[in-house]
Amino acid sequence: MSTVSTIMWKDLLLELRTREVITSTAVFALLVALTFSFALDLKQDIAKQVVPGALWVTLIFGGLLGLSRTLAAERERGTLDGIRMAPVDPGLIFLAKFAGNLLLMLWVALVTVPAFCIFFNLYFEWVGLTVAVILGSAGLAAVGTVFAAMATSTRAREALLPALLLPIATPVVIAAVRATEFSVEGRGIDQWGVWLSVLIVFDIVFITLSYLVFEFVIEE
Amino acid sequence: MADNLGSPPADPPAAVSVSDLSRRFDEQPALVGVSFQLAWRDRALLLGPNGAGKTTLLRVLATLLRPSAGQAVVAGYDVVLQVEGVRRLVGYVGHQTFLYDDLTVAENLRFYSRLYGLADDGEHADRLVNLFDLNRSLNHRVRTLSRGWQQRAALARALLHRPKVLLLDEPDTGLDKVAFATMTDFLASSDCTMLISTHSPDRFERLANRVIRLERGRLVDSGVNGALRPAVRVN
Repeated sequence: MSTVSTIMWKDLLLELRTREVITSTAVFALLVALTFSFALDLKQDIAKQVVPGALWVTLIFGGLLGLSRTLAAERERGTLDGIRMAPVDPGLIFLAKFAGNLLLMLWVALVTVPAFCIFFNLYFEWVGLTVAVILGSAGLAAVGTVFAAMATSTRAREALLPALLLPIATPVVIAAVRATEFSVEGRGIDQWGVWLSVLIVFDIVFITLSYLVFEFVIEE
Repeated sequence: MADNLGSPPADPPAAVSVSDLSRRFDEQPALVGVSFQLAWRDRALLLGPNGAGKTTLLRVLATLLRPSAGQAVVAGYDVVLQVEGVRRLVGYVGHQTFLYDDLTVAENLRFYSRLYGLADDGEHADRLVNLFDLNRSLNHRVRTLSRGWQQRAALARALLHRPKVLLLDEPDTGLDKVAFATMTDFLASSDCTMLISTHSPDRFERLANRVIRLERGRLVDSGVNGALRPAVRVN
């Protein structure tokens, strides 16, 4: 695990120095939440139906903004080759990048969820929401890390990443939105039914697959 | 410093063995049927005009590119099938420094040391820092350094894990006379097998005992000792 923590330490240090990704994603997420609040002047019962979807749209696109940048910077500066040259399991490089991207998604959620609560005057069942956000973000971060690595070697990476990611991530997005609906209605995890299973299975399958294929993805 | 890079093993007989190696980018051939061998402790200059395939060859040997055909074995390890073995024994300095602009030199060296699983005592790293006179720059972010100082740090990074085979792609880029002399003195005293790509062969003349010359992806010369002078002049 030292490889994972070493790469994560480096990424965290770089981000704290530059604050490029955390600032841009937070500003983006807040602006989208604000835009939704102006555009959708909703009564609370309707807001409960609409906000979970709007919340995840914000999380996904806020996260995408960071996902595409983290690996692109490594590729452009050639530092990805520096990491590849080290005698480490490429799967561990994936795990480090995945963990960093998951933290990024959770950061976006940390900014976005309170904003939606305030703008739409809503309350969530917090345990359920936390689980939904973590499991949903983990699935998106796993698929997003792999596709971001693929997209960085193309010119149209900003457009390509969502085009690749969103179709594959549809099951996890639907499950996360459903789980968030339950939590905004004040219903606990025990009432999620199949959606909890979808989230867990999706995460396990895609984290495992991504771990296995990352070696080929980061090759030139 | 020479002994810190380790002695080459008795087996395999060749440090680098390239056999009928080809690499294409889409339909464009970059290397075509290249074959040569380097013995342990050979110091070869890799010469050729722009687009000859020098960087591609070095990147294939460094496991950063897969060959399209043929075989390359470095320090006894196949560059396709035994990637990790190659990476443990190869030091590579490319056109890019592999350093993070917003980390200090010390943080970059610490990062790569940990990535290679090296002990944190840093004795060898300290020697490299002293060798390349990086003490004053250790706590400066890489982006604030000149290209020459960045190149010194890049050389130190490539030597951290005591490689037995050094692949250097125009390593004199940005180096002033003092830094260049330091580098060549170090390389001359090292036990490493080296393949050095350069457009200035006369600068490395005293260092090298072999010349490998590429043109349009093909090997056109693989001279030894006496063949060096004419090959240098031609370049």
